[in-house]
Amino acid sequence: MPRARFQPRTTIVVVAVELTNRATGRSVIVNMLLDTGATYTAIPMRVAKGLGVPVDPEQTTRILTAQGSFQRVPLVRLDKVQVLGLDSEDVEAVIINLPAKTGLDGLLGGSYLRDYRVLIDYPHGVLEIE
Amino acid sequence: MKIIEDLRNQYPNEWILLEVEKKDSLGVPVEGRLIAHGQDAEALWDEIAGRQGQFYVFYTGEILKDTAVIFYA
Repeated sequence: MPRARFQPRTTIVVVAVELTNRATGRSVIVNMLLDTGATYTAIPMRVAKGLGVPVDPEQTTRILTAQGSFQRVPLVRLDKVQVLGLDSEDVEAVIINLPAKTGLDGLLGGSYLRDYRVLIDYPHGVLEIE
Repeated sequence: MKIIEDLRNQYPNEWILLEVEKKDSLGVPVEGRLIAHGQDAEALWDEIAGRQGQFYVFYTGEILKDTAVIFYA
């Protein structure tokens, strides 16, 4: 079972995620926050543009923001998302406003995680995905 | 060829763009060719557009420094 280590007892788990756009022949590995509470994987617009992922203004979904309000955001499809060597194809992702000063380039959410059994051992700092 | 851990020390609190040359068994880059670095993440992503290959973008500073996170998506 693929296993990654993180700082024991931390409250945030950051994972290296490879995003691939076959049309452009480009893949980028970014650091994402593991977010088991998020419906979708999420990326900021800078990542969508860099990958060359088409953003259709007619394809949107509604999200609940941290301010407690609803917002319509673009919904895109990522050809391939790979974490710890495990691929998922055609993964839905939303475009969100994620400031660069967070040091993050996305959230790894349910649209990827639903394909896997995920174990997060906070006391020992172990993430396992199978 | 640049080793990722060296870059973290060489360019503190910056964004780094590499072309990946070597990954570990879990797919995490460990070596690469430095393409760009700086404080402006948007500029780095502009550098990727038009290129083909496998790249790694990361921040060398502390992630979510002094920030608590509650996201909904």
